[in-house]
Amino acid sequence: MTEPIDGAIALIKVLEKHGVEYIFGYSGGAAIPIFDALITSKTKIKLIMVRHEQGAAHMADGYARASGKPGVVLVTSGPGAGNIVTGLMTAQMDSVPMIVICGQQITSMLGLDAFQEADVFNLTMPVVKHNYQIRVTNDIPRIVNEAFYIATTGRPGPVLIDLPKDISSGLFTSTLEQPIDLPAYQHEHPVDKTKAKAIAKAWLKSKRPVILAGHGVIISQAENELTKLAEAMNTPVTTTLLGKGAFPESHPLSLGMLGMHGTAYANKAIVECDFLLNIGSRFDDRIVGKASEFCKQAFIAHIDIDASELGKIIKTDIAIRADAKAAIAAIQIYAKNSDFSDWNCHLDEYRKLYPLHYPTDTNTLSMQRVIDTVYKLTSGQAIVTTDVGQHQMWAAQFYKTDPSVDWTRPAQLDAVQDDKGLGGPRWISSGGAGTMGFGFPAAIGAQLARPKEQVIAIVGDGGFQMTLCELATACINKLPVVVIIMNNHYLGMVRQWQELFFDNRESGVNLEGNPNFVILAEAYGAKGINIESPSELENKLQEALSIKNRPVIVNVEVAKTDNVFPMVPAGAPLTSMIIEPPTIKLAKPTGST
Amino acid sequence: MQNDYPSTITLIVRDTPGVLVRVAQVFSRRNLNIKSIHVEPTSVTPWSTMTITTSNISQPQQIISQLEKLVDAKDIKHNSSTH
Repeated sequence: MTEPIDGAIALIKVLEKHGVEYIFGYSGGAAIPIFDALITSKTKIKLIMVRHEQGAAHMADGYARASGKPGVVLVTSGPGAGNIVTGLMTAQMDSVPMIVICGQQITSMLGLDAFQEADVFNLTMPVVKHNYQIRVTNDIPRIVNEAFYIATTGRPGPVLIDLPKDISSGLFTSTLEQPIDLPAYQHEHPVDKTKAKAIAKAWLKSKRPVILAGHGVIISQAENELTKLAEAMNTPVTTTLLGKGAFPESHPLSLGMLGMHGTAYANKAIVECDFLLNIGSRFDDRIVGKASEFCKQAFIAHIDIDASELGKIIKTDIAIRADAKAAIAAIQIYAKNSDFSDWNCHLDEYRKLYPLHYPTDTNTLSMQRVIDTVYKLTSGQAIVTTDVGQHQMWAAQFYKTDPSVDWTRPAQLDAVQDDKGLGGPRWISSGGAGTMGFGFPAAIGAQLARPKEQVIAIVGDGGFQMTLCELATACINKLPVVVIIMNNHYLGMVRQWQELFFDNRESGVNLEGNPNFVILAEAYGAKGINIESPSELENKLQEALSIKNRPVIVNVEVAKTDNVFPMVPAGAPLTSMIIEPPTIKLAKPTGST
Repeated sequence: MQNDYPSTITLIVRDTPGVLVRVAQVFSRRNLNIKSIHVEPTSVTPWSTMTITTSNISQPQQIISQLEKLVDAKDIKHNSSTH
């Protein structure tokens, strides 16, 4: 007869069955039985002990985006669970699969304001795809199986499991093999072939077509299929911020990123196009600008796995609810060699007239120059994570992202890594939520997922200070993450808005009091490098990239008051794009952010 | 003037703790006020019928597809009455 086990050991065993290799966690009273089971179950799952629960959530997020497998988080009740809300929201907004397990008070004390009790089940409902509170120990396997199924199918997202202490320490008397029971959950939607044919027909009739590729293409691992379709139809492709990597940005048909800080040629293409095929993007307000003016002349087709995204922001002529890869394949059947050369030549003119550029003749370091240098030194092959703000937009503009050659995972991840150490998305950024403090912990997660690859976190001095305690996590795990702090001593993007729209009144943006980041890095055991002038930029970045046994923090003193252009003021139509610094006072934006 | 005719949404939900909150949050997030709500078990366990009346919904398809995303909800229908 097998030895009796408790709920916590059953939990760990089910996580093992799902192939979990890391748990990003932080302990506390209500989670002690689960942390104990990490030892008593003799599991091979490795605990990555963080320094703050928000860091755990972002690490799991970065791990998931880099590996294609859900990241797993384990935290305690009350404040521990409260600290992961930002991480859940970030994952939910960007469709990232994640499993979060929270310790909880014993069931008899629920709702009685016990020590470290919070109503985490209700607290997290709006920021997860689904959540559970387990009330019966024997239900643990089924609920964990359901959580993984929900997190990874359809439009992915985080699933939270609240696990009271008496349930995790209760006797488990059932089987670990428990089927899921989700009769109302639908996630498979076959492509409507009639609609696919109609899209191809409208496309072939058009004169100025554009493909808009979003994160859905990457989640669906349809990069190769998209490239094949775009080439067959000779149609230019623009991507969203999170769609970077869906289509090679070095490709002649690439227009780069569109939207608020997208390329001028991408935005002009959107304004002038007469056919738009949106694959796996949700028409976010930062790409659309003024919705009523967006692509007014164009036939708009939209493909999304989430029906609630179809028609939510932009009215479409044809909408298909389907997985991106399947929908692309269905359209590919009708693709014909098309001649849109007039249109492509026209866009080439825009590329020449309005290239992305930055000054190189000054003694001040611009963020663009730093990012461009990193891009060249790494041959565009690094995994790049970011926070949010100016550095993020410039990284999106200047760190061009091409899909990996062998992106056929997760099943074959290990094989691919053994061969070349390459595979999977290379651009990891908090897009929807715009979360400061995301980049560094996400880089830690990405480095654990793809240990052979160069991982670089491009962050601001503001965002880095929100999660810098994870330096300890990176150091004890000897992760060679290179953190490049774009230190302008400001919350740069907010300052930019204040300069352009609020008469340059700086309010709450001056980061006076920043620490010496080099000494700080060394205090944790990381390597600290300081860069202050263009002459030392390349050599010192090269040094940073060569260190492989510990994290590297590179503090770069960049121009303090630079602004990101092109810029479409929030809520304005894309035709209102500002390409160069304005000489007149601008009206306050009508959009929110 | 805003059309104030009520909208009625019916759906089948799995009778499980928290399902009422999940449904209510879909309405609350879109600033829709629930005027009446009725929940009743169907003849088939564990399903219940939920009937919700709100002020007129300008984008019913959006609410329906948001409700369809709930793991424990199905068969969402919208009726707009004129009296």
